[in-house]
Order: sequence, then C-alpha cells, then structure tokens
Amino acid sequence: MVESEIAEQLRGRDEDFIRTVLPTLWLAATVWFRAEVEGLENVPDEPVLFVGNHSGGGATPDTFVFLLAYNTFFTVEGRPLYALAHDTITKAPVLGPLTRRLGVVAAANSLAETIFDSGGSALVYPGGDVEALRPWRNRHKIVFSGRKGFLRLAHRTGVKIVPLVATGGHDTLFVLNDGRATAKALRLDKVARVKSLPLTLSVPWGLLPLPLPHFPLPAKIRMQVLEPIDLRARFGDDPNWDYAYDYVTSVMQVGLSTLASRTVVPMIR
Amino acid sequence: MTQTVSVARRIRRPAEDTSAFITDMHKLVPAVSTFKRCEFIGDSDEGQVWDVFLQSGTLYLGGRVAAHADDRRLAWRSMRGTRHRFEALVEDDRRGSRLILTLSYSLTGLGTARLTELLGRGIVARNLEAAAEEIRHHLEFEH
Repeated sequence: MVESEIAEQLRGRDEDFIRTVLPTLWLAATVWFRAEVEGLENVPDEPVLFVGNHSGGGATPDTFVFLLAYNTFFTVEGRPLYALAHDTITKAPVLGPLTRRLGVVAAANSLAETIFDSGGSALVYPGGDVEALRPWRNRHKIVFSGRKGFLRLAHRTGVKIVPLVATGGHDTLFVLNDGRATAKALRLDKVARVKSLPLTLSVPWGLLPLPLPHFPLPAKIRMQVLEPIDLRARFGDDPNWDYAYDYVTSVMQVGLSTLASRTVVPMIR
Repeated sequence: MTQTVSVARRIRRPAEDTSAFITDMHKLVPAVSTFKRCEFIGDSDEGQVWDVFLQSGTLYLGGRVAAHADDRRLAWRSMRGTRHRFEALVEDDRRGSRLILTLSYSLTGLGTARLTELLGRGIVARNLEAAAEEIRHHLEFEH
C-alpha cells in the first residue's frame, strides 16, 4: 500500500521493520514455542476483525506468533494487520514505539474504522487484561466479561468477524488468582483501566502480586483461525446484542475447547 | 486401576430436548467432531454397536462399543480396543438442563500403565470438555 493512502494514525506500521523482525519471531515461535497456526485459509479477501482470546499475562506470546503467521501467509506487503492494544502497551516507553512499528495501535473505535476504510484488518482481544490474567485453571475458557463493543464495531462497519483461538499462551506463566477484587479495592479500574491484579508465578519474578512483564516459559502454542461470522447476515440490521454475544463467544468456546483437546501433555505437546 | 473422569455443562435447553439429542447416537455422533472415526456397525443383543475413538497425538483411544440408551442417559462399554465405559447423563437445571459426561478407563500393565493412566486423565478431561461444548453449542444455537 502506498504511503499516501495510509491514514496518519496508522503510519507507524513499518513494513521494513516487520520484515526485519520476522526471522527472530520465526525462531522464537518455532524453537521456543513449537507454534502451529492453522486455518488462515478461512480469512476472506477483505478487511476483517480478528477476535482472539487473550492469554499469557503481559507477554501475550500468541499475539506475536499470529503476527508472524499473518505477515508470512498474506505477505508483509499484503493487507496490513493492526492489533488494537491497551494504552499501557502503546504508551509504554521503548515498548510502545517498537510495537507501533509492528502495527499495534491504541484500541479506539474511530481508529478501527480508519483501519477498515484504508483496507486493513484489525485484531482485538475483547477480554483484555481480565482475560490475559485469568487464573490458570480457566486457561481454556473464553472470558470476555460481557464486552460487546467489538460486535457493534463489526456490525457498524460491515466487516466480518474472524474468530481466533489459541492454547499454550497461558502456560507461559502461572496465574494463581484473578485479583479483580484487589484491583477494585485499589481503584485501579477507575484510575488506570486496570481491572485485575493477580498473583502470578513467573520467570524471573517468582511469586508476584503484580502482572509485570515476564520471560515466557517454553509452552507449546496452538492457534486456530475459525470460519468468519457475518453479523449482518446472521443477526440482521438490528441485532439482539446479548444473543449475538452469546453466539460468538459460544463459537469461540467450542473452537478453544476443541483446540485444547489436542493437548497431549500441557506445555510440552 | 480404573480412572474415571467427569465433566458437566449447563445447557440452555429443556432436559427433554437435550435428552432426545443425547440418547440418539445417529444424531449425536455427526455433531461432535471430538468423536473421531465413528461408524455404526449394527444392532446386537447388547444394543447398538459402534466404532468410536478419541484422538490424542499419535494415540487413538476407543474401539468398538455396545451402546444403549434410556430416557435421559446414553451409555456404552467397550467390546474391543481401549477398555472403557462412557455415560452421558441429562439432569434438570433450573430452566435448562445439565449434561454430565463420564468416561472410565483402564490400561494394561504395571508402573508405566499407572503413570499413563494418570497422564490420560488430562487428555480425557479436555476431550470430554470439547465434546460437551460442541453438544451445548449445537443444542443452543444450531438445533
């Protein structure tokens, strides 16, 4: 895509930089995570909203595995993929500018519409920090906490939802509790949009009551791109949002549980 | 030693609907992709004879089974292959129903068989959870 066609806010994505980091991502994905990504042939040739389950605390290794798979399957010069992320990522020193060059942008509806208008696709994690920091025992559960903004965005802009499920990301650290009560008691949900403050066991921190960035354990990661969902075709011009939410999360739960059933020994295979 | 694994899911459909689906293997089997290589062999004195497998990596768990159903329960036991018993039970749950899938299995051998049985609990649990989710989704959205 030529530079003049790209909206101002999206110009941080750097194709040359992505091309430079792909070999490193490939090495990490292949050697460390033995990653597998299947189903990319399900993605239609049009802007779509990828909706994923969020795992792995602050490291979210499956996001980088998917960036690798997407940018090699569709090529770096193909339809650009932008990942909508929390402010704590996009505004972080060092990490923010780096991830912006990979195509990570601040999660905002207006920006998502700009992405689709410019011919790009977007990746969102409706579960956000709550899902990324859910307890390990719930690692195979979709936890969107009732957030329906992604449905309204896809419906309003007329793009299809492409569900993306992943296992293994949540085996890269151990989240012992969700810490939602702690975050609420400290008013972090109001002050910093942080809704969970869990107790985690990770490298190099050990046991920690804060979700600091960690070094991910070498867990086996599997990802599956599911069939696209056309909200307008399925639910009409005026959807029952609760029903649409239940349907999409149910489809994703089936996909996630089916993917999890392929796990032979957790973390290893 | 026999290992028994159970999973349960709430289904937002009346118990009568869930039971009607669960107890008819000709409806159930095509809707559950977790059950692999399934084939109806025929009827016998012990009930319907089916080939049913779960796949986990290089391993196929299952074999030929004899299945029978009553009002709210489907059960089968192995005739050949991995020695196991399976039960799908439907209960009332407020305005919906509750599906309980239980699989008991045993492997032949001494120390490594016991270890494999224990590791197998996770495999079986994840497969039963996947089957239960597929059944729930089918009944709630596709039925």
